[in-house]
Amino acid sequence: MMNRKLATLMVLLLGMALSGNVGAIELSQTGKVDIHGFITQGYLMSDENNFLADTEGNGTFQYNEAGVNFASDVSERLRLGVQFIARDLGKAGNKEVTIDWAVADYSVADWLNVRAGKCKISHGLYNYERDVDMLRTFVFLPQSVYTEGWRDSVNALNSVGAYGYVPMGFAGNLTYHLDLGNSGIKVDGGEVRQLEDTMPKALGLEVTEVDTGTTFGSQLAWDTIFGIDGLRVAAGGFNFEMDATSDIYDGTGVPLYDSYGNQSGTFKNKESQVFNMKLLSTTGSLEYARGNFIFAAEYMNNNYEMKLPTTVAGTIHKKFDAIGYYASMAYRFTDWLELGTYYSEYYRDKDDKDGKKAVQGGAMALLPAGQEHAMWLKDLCLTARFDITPNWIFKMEGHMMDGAALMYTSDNNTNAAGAADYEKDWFLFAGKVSYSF
Amino acid sequence: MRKKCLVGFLFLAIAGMVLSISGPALAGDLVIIANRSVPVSEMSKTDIQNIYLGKKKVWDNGMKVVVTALSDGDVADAFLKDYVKKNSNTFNTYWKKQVFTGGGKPPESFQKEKDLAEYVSTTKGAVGYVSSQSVSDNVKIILVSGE
Repeated sequence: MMNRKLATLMVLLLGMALSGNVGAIELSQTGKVDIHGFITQGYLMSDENNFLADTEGNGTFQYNEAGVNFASDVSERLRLGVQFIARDLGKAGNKEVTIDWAVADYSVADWLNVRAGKCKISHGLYNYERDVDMLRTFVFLPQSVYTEGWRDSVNALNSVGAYGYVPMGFAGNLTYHLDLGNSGIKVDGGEVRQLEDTMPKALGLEVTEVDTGTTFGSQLAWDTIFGIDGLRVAAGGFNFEMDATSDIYDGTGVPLYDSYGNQSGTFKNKESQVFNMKLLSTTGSLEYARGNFIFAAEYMNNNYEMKLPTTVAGTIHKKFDAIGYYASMAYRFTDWLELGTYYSEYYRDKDDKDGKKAVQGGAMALLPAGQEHAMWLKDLCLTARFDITPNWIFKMEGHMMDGAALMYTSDNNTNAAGAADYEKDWFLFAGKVSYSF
Repeated sequence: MRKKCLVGFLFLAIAGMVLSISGPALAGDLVIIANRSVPVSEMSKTDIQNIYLGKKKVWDNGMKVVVTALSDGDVADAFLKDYVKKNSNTFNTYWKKQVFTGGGKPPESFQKEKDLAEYVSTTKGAVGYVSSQSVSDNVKIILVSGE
């Protein structure tokens, strides 16, 4: 059954789209409110593995978004805006209407603009626009840097921040972003599901409450470098800190299972503990756009530190780096046809690229033997984008996948005993239609 | 088999990108115009680019920059290519991105140069472009420096 809030949002969107009275509505003699929106419907199908939803076999239409925004220049220097969004992708979103961004933006000078509210985080080249399908060539941005499961919290912060640009003559322009705030990690969000997947199954980790610390994000971008139009490089990063109150086996009562899903013989009870996780994510980016051609390449390093004080395996204190990188290019052949491709690689632990360490440790192994490929994801993607009209867009996309990182066992990627069970080589098809105004 | 098809598709796409070279639009006799309230009489091409990309939002005296543009046509194409270093598609996509991420409001768009010039002449802080034959006495002509 369709969520009532989503239905209301969609009726609102359709009403505005059909009325023709969209784009800008005069509210008074002194100002007007610009109204824009979008609706998307996607279809995902894979021959093996479930990618963030029940995609295997017949595929799923449980992949859609609807959004509407209102913005107005309320004075010479102050602009207010808000965008509502409802989305669904497997267990994410569930059509709940949320605030995508809501910003009060004040221009002090070209080099200093201050903003407050729920603000987008500068992460890589394309995080700002990841919620809006028609702004990019691809259905899925490269997962190595723009992990779909993390979209809700990496999307925006409740924050204050500053940004601006500094022209440097022939040397080009510098643009900076600084943000300080709090992220919206949810107990049932992708980050927590990944955290649960990151710990050995034998611990029985189940997060019940999340308390997030302060996040600081920054990015410095340099464009039109020494007169080369379309060339842009950027570097930036952000941190997350999370205390995840979790139920975990303590040593009595309930049966303990090993990572193969077999009962290891000891009965354990669960007790509540606080699992602390720190993340420092840094990204370097390069983009070159000339005419209808765009090339982009990015490299991301996620440094994790995880602490769990008391478990059946003793104190857990893990430090590791996950890395991801990709190169992409796209070309617009005509007003209605654009083709794009990218190759992307992601490794959950850069010191265990082949996954051999992950399957060691017996009952405390991260993955069962034979599932080493769940430590990486290599993705060769090809996309065709058709701009049927300026408002209607249709995309078809194929992914040749090697590996199964960035996916969740809780998306029915388990065997009968409940252990991780991914195929190494598989194919994902994504189709998506978007309407925007 | 599937992999071969994918690789073949990739090859054709790259070949198409290499072979499909679109011809540049010819730059017309463009004039940058502004409302008489605008506190500058000369700008560099970089200044103009930053105005049309929404990076420069206020004039030096604190007045809001009101950006205008032609919706399509040769004059618009020539302006975008020569001053903004974009084509109509990438320019429109850039502003859609701003609209849907809270980054700002796109230029006021006009079908006819006459309407654009009239709007600029009557709107405080407005800046725009027209072909030389559409310039009226009611607007300030902005000199473009070499940079």
